[in-house]
Amino acid sequence: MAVDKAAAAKPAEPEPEPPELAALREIASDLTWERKRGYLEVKLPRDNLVTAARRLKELGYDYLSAVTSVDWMDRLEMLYHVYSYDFAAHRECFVLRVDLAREANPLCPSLTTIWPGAEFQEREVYDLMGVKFTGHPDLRRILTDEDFPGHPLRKDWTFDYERVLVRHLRYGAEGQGAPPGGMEGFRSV
Amino acid sequence: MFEGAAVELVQSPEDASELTLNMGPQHPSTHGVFRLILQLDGETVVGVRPVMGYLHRSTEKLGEARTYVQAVTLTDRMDYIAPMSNNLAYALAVEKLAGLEVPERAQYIRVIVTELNRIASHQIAVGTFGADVGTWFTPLIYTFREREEILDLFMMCAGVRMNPSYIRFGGVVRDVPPDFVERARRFLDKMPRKIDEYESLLTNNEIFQARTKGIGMLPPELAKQYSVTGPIARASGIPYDVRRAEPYSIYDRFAWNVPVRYGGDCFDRYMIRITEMRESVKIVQQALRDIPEGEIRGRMPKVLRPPKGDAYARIEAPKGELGFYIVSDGSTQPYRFKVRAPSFINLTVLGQLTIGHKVADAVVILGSFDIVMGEVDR
Repeated sequence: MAVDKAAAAKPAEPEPEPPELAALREIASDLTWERKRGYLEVKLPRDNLVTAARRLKELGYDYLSAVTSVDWMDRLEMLYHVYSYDFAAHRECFVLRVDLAREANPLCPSLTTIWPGAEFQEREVYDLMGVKFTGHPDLRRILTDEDFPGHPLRKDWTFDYERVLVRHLRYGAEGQGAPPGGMEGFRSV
Repeated sequence: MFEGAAVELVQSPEDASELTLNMGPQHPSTHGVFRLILQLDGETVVGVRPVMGYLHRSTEKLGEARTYVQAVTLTDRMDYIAPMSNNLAYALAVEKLAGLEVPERAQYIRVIVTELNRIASHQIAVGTFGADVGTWFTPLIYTFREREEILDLFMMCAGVRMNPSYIRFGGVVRDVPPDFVERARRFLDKMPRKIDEYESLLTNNEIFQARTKGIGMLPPELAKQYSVTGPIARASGIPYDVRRAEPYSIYDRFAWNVPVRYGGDCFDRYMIRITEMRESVKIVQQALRDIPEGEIRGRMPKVLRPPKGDAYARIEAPKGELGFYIVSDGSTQPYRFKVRAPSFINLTVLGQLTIGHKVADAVVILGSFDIVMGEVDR
């Protein structure tokens, strides 16, 4: 099987590798892991995410709690907090971490095939962070307006406050007081 | 998407028997500004599309632009009928991140106020659920009568009734006044009788049972696939409670039960909330008995700058698992402020449950979910 890279990289780690990780390593040989505040954080390549998540579910970790995205400026990171509903038998708490390129709409495989409940959470990440989930059944914006500009949780996101909020107050509901082109991008409601 | 009146009927041209019914966003039974686009075949729901975001205030973005202490006020305004739980989850996340200690007395006060808040939240859930199934407002007024006393207790300790921002990292804002314990004890002594009163109005009511039993059945497999937590999961036979799964604060010191029912219908979801109120009463009574004297706030730096890193803390909020994921870059403001909102994630399964039921039952199923839009939209 694969070389124990994570263990080799962390010689000071006194803790032996948890048994669940051996199963994950069969899928993604180059994963790295560490234990932080009791949680087992596993870093995976993007292409192994779905198979690893499915394996994890087969092992009894059947509760996908949170889907999180973080903008690190040089990359985007997806975090999946996975627990087990049967917490007495499976005590570990997994955090799957996947790095994505910081593009306008980086692609990430959707976990809705394994946990249909990821649907709204992934839509939220798409809406607020701009990650496109491949294989998602209905990837639309969920919290913001459909023609909302950009993805607000990006660190470099800025917003023209006049666009939606003030323009119709300033120029009137029909845009009668607007200068030529001043109603650009304003939708009458 | 947002055009149109609050309720509109659209006859689809290709099939005259199918009808699109727009429920909400301003509809009394949607518990806020939530919109359901129902596809109807006669009276039967064949398609559901939830539309949300009307109350979106971008709490996560705002949290990144405020200091750690300022962000506490944002948490109040998410689940505004259980603000203490939100405060607690956020405080736990920051304490994990910064490694802060919480003194004993503050731990007890935290448990007391969060469990009182759970009772208050379930009172709203039960009362409005009654209104949804057509009991009009009688149970709602009954539950609000006792909720008022809980808010009075919050007023004593936090100074305000709603949005208290009472639980902060390292402890609580200020100590409870001397007569708080006695007054809370008096309130809790009569609370079981009052819960009996709610039950006599609702549980044994024949119409209430007819409207809720066998409606919106959520099998445990489906609940697990959809990451459902809280009373909804426990009504479907999943004994999952974060207070047991990953004990936080001092819940391991009290004797209490996790109520579980196996029907998975709207009636069981209601019954779980009733039973949880009784269990919360037990927890608070024990906490009031054991509460020690002492400090209410640990040693805190004047300006909180947690070391670089991230932390995830989760609690059992009245509506399910509430989690906060905070990333620190070493400055005074969170780098990432993520909320795992239970109402929002529980809503994912709503469409699955509603399809196949009558349109009148869609209101009941939504009511049994006990959503709060401040938390769904954040």
